[in-house]
Amino acid sequence: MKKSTSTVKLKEKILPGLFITLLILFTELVIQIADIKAYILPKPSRVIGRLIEDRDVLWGHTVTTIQEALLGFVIAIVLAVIISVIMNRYKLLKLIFYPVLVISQTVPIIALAPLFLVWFGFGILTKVVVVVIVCFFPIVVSLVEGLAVVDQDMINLMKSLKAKPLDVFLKVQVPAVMPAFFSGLKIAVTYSIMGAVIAEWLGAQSGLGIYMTRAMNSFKADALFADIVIVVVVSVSLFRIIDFAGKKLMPWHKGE
Amino acid sequence: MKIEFRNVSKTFYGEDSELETLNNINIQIKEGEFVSIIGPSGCGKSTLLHLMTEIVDSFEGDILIEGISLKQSDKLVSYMHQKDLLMPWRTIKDNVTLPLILSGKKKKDAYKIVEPYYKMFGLDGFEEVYPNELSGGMRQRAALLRTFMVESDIMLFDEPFAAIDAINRHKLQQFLLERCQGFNRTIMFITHDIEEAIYLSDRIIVLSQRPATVIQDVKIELERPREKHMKLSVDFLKIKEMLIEALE
Repeated sequence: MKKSTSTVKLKEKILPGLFITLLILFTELVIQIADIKAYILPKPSRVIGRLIEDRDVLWGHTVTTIQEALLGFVIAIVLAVIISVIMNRYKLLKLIFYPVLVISQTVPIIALAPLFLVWFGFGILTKVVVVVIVCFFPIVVSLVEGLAVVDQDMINLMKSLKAKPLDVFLKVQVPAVMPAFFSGLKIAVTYSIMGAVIAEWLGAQSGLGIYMTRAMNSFKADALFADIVIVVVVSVSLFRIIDFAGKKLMPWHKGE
Repeated sequence: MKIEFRNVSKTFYGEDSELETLNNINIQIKEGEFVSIIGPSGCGKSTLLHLMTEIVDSFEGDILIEGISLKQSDKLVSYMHQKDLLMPWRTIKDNVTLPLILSGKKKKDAYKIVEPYYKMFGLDGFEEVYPNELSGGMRQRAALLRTFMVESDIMLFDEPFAAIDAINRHKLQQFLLERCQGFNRTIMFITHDIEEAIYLSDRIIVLSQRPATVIQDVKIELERPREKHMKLSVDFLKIKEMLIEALE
């Protein structure tokens, strides 16, 4: 039994990696055979070469973007927690503001971003604001929906034990909403890097977004792809960190 | 009198509807008595308990606990729901000590108080386990232990074994009877299972269709301790027949 589950685990880990490796090799081969120009589609080996060559510059840009993304992410969490708790407490406010929240999310952020530049300048503020807006929604939705489905009978049980409202909140509502909260966080954290990159496109001193624009403007496709690789790796890593934290914080929550 | 319902009526008001649930209910329960309440489903049995636990807090008439009106009384009553309502995020140990923690006990002291009971409730060795790792019967026993940990001599049960299969239900009934002996608790037990009511109770109160009124108050004269074979005795079946008729 034990052996077979561990081989399944091993399979889960090895197979996707193997597939990606094969895909990269295949791309390399196709580009080589079809003789595609590097400025149209660079070979994976060139992209890796660029990553190594530009590592110092890229590292600096990466740090900037991560800082913006995390700052925005944290602010989004704080705002989402406050607003969802208020909306859960005062149903009328939820009735009024929840639809507005949904509508606001359908506005294409990329169209508004230039305006943010006018409002908030070329500094870090614009980027953080964009990240907050992008991250806020999935977190607040997960919290509001999560709080709404907390088992009323469990709350009644607490009431029958003459629990104070704070006890009901901390001992029932908070833990009950955690799984939904972490689902929201996982989505939001992957958006956060993207949000920062989009904001940087419009103008920045440093960051993966500005590096990307420069690469595009000078037709350095290999640099563009190097940048994309970093965005992917950083986003996946952040996702993994949140996932790990969730599992540590919710030992009772298995599966999914 | 331990518990007394005096002319209790309750109507729920919806947005454009009203639901008259209880109509002039009068019930008296003596100290140490085990009283079951049966009635058609949806007749408002649970509402009686919701009033007592103050989950629902407005009604007409009065409920007295030990002679003191519910509103003035700060008496705690323990309440067990049909669902086990164990919190998935608390281990069994932390679930069963919840009432003690809420009443202001320190965690360490609460653990110590509950310690001797694990064995009695068939939960020893499972203290550190999360509820979702237990079977339905064990979860219900844990819920029962939590109910016993409430520092109160009044216990309210709202169809506690309804979601359990027949074999385990009988075990749990037996278990409840054994646990109740020597605890001197006053119990209100809601069920739709007539047999269960007869088997457990000193007295059975039959409620009518909604709006519920008391239509019968039956004293169960079976000797204690109750044993399985009694369920087949003539006296038992006579009571059962009478109750079935009353419910129709």
